[in-house]
Amino acid sequence: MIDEVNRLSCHAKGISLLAFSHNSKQLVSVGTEDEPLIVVWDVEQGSVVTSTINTGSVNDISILSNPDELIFATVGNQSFKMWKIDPETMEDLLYLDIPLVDNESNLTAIASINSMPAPYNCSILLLGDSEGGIVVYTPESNEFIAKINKVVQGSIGLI
Amino acid sequence: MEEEGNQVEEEAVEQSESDAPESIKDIGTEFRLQATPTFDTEGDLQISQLSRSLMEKRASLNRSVLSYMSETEEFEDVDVPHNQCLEAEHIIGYNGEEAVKNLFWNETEGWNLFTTKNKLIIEHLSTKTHTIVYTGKSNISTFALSEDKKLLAVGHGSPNTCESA
Repeated sequence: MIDEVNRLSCHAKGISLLAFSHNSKQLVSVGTEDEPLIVVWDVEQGSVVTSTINTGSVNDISILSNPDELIFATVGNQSFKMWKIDPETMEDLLYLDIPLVDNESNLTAIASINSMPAPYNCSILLLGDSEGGIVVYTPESNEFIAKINKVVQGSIGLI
Repeated sequence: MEEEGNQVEEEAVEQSESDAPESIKDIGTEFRLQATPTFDTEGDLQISQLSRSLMEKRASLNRSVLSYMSETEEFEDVDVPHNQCLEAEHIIGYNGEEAVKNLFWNETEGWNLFTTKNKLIIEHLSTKTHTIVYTGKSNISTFALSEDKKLLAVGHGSPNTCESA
């Protein structure tokens, strides 16, 4: 029923998260806190495309919909980063460290929505925190556009 | 690579000290190289200088941490009546170890895929039958399915490998 394609060995201390690119050609793996390694794999070749040691924790990962290149976002304790492979070298993993509105936030989950209807008319990322709040971020204009404070009966305020 | 990364970090620090952004919108969008971490005793490397400047600015203005999001105090904790909360009807599988993202529900085809210990199990919802589709040598920490559901990647939480099938 399932045939093993590749056995990918790079993480010496385990894997905490995995995510396929939208075209299934690449796989992103995130190591454990003991070894915060982020690796981008070529699925077909079973080889490492690029890797880097991350500073800080990673609690969740989400692949952004982009037909041209692999871009993914990670969240963790006081951390929200966007990642992509350097288009020039195709070897280095670049990141964008996005300052949080609440610097004490422990972000626990992230989900992406490719296209939101009006009034947003953009793709958004939903960032959940350990306090039950959700922050809405749009990578297109690089700004936080709303916050739902607590999932239950929360209100949404636009900036 | 390390020198280049550190140089970029230093430039970012200088910029944040001299010209702190007025709002979230003013923050640049240029990706940069992940600097190789040099762990210090304070352990505060996770907080970038840019984030620190924003934090200090809020403190100087005596504003709450949410002040960049909302100028009002609209957001208040609300007690929700018990009958408005969702309750679990079934628990399907239990890992017992640290595992995340270890459940996938295919609502259109009617099956669940979940892990327990070192096994990956598919549950056919119409027949309530379970099939072990993968057994690893150690506990499974997470898995991922490709969008077309033709590829499955399984990760282990202990020293091991990532396997795609």
